[in-house]
Amino acid sequence: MKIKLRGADYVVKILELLEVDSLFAYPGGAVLPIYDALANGNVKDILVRHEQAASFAANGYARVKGKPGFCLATSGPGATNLVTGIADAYADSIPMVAITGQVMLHLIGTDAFQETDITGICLPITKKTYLIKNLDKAAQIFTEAYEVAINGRPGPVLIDIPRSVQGEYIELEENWEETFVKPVLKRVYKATEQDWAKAKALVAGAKKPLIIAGHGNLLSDSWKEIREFVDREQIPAISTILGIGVFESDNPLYFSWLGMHGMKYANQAVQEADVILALGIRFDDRITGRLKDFAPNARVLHIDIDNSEDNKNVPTEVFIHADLKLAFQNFPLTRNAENSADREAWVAYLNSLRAQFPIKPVDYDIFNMITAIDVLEKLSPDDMIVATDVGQHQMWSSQYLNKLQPNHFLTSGGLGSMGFGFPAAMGAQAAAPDKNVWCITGDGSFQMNLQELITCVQEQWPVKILVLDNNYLGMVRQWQEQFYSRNYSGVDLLNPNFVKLAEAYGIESAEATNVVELADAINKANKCKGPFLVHARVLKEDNVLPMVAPGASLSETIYYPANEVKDFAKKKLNLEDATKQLAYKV
Amino acid sequence: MQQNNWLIKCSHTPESLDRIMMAFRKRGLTVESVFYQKVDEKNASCKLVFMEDDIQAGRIYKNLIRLVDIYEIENLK
Repeated sequence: MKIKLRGADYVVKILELLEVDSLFAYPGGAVLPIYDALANGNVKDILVRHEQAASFAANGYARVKGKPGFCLATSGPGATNLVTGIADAYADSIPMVAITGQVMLHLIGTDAFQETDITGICLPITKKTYLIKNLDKAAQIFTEAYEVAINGRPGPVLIDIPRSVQGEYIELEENWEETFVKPVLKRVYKATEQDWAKAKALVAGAKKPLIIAGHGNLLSDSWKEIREFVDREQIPAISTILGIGVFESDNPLYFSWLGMHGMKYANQAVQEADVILALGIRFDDRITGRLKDFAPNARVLHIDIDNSEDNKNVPTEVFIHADLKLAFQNFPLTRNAENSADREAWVAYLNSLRAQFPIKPVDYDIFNMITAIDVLEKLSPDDMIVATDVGQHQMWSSQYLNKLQPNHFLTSGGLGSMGFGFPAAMGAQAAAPDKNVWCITGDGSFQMNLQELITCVQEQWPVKILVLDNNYLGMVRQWQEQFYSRNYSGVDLLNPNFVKLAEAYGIESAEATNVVELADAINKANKCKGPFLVHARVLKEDNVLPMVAPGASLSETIYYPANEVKDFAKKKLNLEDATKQLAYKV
Repeated sequence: MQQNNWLIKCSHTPESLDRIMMAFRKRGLTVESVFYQKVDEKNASCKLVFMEDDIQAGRIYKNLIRLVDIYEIENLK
């Protein structure tokens, strides 16, 4: 028996079969039939206020849920507004399916109203794009797109659907849904015994081996495996920013993260290591510093799901092309009687470096971004999810948030998109409705997508927002201070009253100008059943350190000024006092 | 600079050729010649001749092998 389905209904049915529960979307002329079908289907469409937020929210959803995020926009400007979020997902290898409406098939190429070549525009920022010209191919295209998004190195795909196709009818077998197969993850494993033999010899022979763990560990859901591996091998580890959460921060073998604003001791560890185990990383320029001086003493073992990363930026001695989850199952034991003492001595040395170059203690006498981030973490549940925007607050969040669980820290690492944080937090809340979700943002970044406040109200998402307001584009100001003789240009921000703005959107809010006010505000926010905005007016001029200047080597990591370092011990005492005081007050 | 003569085996899709050329275009590079040919309903081959040194050719190669639709790149001497 045959049935007839309209194209738009067919597409929505396919989305249901792909188990899409949240579709971040914005309507328009070229997707009206799809919206008509959505009204009768079981896919929840979330009405954002700008398509860019839809693609960022799909990104946040995917990271937390561990499955592709879906977003939908109309043709022309709707589609182009998705682009930054798609590019962000490509840079950070996030599985995403972006669906766009297109002008009617016969109008493509005529410069029709709201026509853009979105498949062409998205070529460099997607794994694959599709234009559905024939409804007969729709199910095949959707399943292939989904499969491409999740398999291999994950990433975004785009499906463009002309409006005329959405309105056409297709004849199907009555039981077609029963024969529909949702694609599953096929883990890559192309390692040979020879590869492992080389890897074993390399690591076993090292005196100063160092693991650099990246986002690949979270994307492949192998954080348990890497923790067991580190424990078994007793090899010290650091992570990239996107690898934050792979290790518990109090793991004695974890030495925080490396790179431009990474810990000086982590950067130093890289420069002194004799073997680097690069696990699920891509040697981005923000972590290598001046490439020719990166890890000058190290031979490199690189394990990655994407073989195009082999020898791409850093010369690799052994490359293992595999999904990390399977790689850890096969990684031979390398610790033995001869190298155990070396590893122990190396870890002891790294501990001495950590003691010598610690991260600056939190100073509760100064109300700056560091203090605010620290207070937020102290007063929030251990399983909180944090999404950040981009800038100084992003780096300080990465440095000072210590209890983040795997996939609970969402940040735009590769593309560095301001405006990412708030919509990503919305996506995270959609994926994990019961979790405490915070967006830590700056006054600059927040204003790139603050229109989404009303989306949170409409969806009843209790997303909490901490706006760290220094009336500056802080990171740009810092660079102008450090590298352009304080010639501040285009960084002074006149801001709205964020508290009143939140009120206008029907969102509870509070202002904080000191630690105690902030603690009160955060406690209120965490108790609030709806969204809540905390406007923290923080120190205006402050610099993120440590820092590797652009073009410099990791060996040249700039540490804090000597006069500040001298006071670290005193600040530690103050911190304990202040913490007690804080605990008493709240 | 040297002549590179590659035979790329890829899937036959509307975007395969664009994606191959993307690796050159985004670097502001040009090619000497391209010959794209459908092999069957699903597959195509693309013969590509371009002048670049080993380092640049290596980077282009890396970009190409990341693409889902590229199956194999053979260096024709």
